[in-house]
Amino acid sequence: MAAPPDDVLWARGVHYAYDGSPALQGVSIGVREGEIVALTGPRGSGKTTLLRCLSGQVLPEQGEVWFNSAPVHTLGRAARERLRLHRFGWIDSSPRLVPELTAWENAALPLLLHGSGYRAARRAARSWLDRLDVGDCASKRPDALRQAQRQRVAVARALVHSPTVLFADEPTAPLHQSDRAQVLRALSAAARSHGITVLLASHDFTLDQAARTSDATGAALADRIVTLTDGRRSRTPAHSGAAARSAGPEGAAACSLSV
Amino acid sequence: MLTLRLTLTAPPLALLLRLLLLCASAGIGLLLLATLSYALEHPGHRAAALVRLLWCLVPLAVAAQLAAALGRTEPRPEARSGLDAAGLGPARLPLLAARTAAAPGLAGSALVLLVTARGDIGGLFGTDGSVHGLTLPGAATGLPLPEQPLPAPAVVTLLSTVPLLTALAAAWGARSSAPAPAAGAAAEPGTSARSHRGPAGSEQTLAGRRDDSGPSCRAGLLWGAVLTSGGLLLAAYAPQMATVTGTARLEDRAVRIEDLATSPLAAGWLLAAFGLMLTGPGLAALSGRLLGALRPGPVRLLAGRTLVREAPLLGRSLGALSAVAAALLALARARLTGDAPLAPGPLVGATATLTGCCVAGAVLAALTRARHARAPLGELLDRIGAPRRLGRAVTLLRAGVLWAVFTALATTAGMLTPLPPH
Repeated sequence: MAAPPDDVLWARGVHYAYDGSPALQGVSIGVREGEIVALTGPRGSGKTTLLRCLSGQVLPEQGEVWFNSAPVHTLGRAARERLRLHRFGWIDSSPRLVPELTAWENAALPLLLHGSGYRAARRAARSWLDRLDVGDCASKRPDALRQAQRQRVAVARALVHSPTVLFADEPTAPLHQSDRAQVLRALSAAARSHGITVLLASHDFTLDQAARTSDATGAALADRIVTLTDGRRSRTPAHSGAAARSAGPEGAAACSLSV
Repeated sequence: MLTLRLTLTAPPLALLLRLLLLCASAGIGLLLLATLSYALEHPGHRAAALVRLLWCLVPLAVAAQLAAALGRTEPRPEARSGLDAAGLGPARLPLLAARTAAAPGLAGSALVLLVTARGDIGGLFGTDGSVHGLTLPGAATGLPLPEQPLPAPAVVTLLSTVPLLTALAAAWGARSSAPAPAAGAAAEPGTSARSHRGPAGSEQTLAGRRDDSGPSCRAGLLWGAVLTSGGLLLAAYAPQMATVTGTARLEDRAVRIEDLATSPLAAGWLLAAFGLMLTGPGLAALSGRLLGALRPGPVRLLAGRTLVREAPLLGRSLGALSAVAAALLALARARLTGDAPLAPGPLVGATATLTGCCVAGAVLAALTRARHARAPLGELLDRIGAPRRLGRAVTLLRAGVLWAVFTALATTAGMLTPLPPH
């Protein structure tokens, strides 16, 4: 069965278990092009596993994953690695920078792996670091940076090769509130301006209205919120509200940020 | 009990290293007892006995280095956090490392004690200090070892040095401020949280502490080069001095070895070996810097930079290994060219072999540590979808460069080493 044509990423009935303990139990999800989808749920609800399944890092035991109307779950390891390298970006909850490379070399790593020239990679990486306000740290090692700066370098690394889909697995987990808002704003603004589809997982989306107006949670920046509970999708009453509110003033403010 | 369990469930490499430590302990114990026996036989030759005792320091130092490497490697990093949570934190972990390293040392010493007592353990606890049961097992094993009866307190004191020393070295290696790889300094949540928590000043010092590994490597390279060349020069001029004073007696091989041990030639060799060991980190860092220079691609960049970072971890052990390789090469040259090849006694030969094995074991431990330190990088490359062959290419390139550099070093040192005159 072919995926619906307007979904860039589409999964149906995904099951996955870690050594017998179930993590995902039949999750289905569709993500349209250019959409920012927030994936929420408590710790252990399967957010990270779902992102890993969708990005082809692990193969689901049952179910299907399609990207741009092509199956991912039937691809071999090398083909999935190519897909991740060329079409996907990944941001982890910790920056995971290579400590012996400078900030710009870290950010340019995907381009270098693509085989671009040293100078072109440096130019692209520096321009992304400038856009994310860490241009002055480009020649420093990760040891010399603050955690928020490191996380922004990780964001630059995920965006530098202009991926089709960006997977962000709790990108603000180690940050303070003010840094969270900055990183999320930078991330969503960059994604909107380049038409990048984003899947943003976070466990701390507070679903009351007051918290959503502050974009520190990330929920305010998302078009849609998908909630997972114990490896299954759960429908919350706030779900439709978030979709309706996405064109509200906060979302517009995020879109209008110049990057 | 915990020591026993951790010993029994250790990975094969740790078991191998402990076995090596046991053998080294037994070998060094026998060597020390032979020295004691010589001193008892020749009460007049104090200087000669002292020189023999001083030469025992070389295998002792190597065994201590192996124990320190074991203390750094074991318990594994993933087990360490669990032990820390269970109360075996950075303060008590050295005690555990000391116990686990002392166990094989004690076993080796006990083995020697059993062999020297020839099953007559009861004689050990007799009233008189000198027990006739305690002699070196020369007659039983058919080896030319002295048959002098040894005083029990001296035997026990000498045999306790190796376990004590290995325990101290392991505790030293396991202490929390031991040189750890900056591996995943930004990748590990714990370390990044630590540096994040501190104010800007402490971050600067943290960064400064990591950055000063470069100058220390350079200083090590310089000192190592000076010591190596000084040692080789000393060894080169030693034969002339020996012929001038006329101490070389060629007719008796045993005496000849002894003369060699006291001559400046051997001191030069030792100095050169020490210099090679000091050269290691600087040389590895330098080759890493050269590898990552001039607009590198991803393979060269990652291989070069990881080499620079791992240089303090690997360099010393690799330098020591190249010293051993140089010694083997020099030995081969002596066998090929000399008509009177070096013929060390069985005990000296066995201890030298054990010393070489200990150096190789320390290299294995350092390589394991470096592999653990590289694990976050492999995980990251998998996340961003780097092809597997990239990781393999990085590993191969790094290993190839290290192999080439240290083989060249060992070959140069081995070919330049002056041989004893014949």
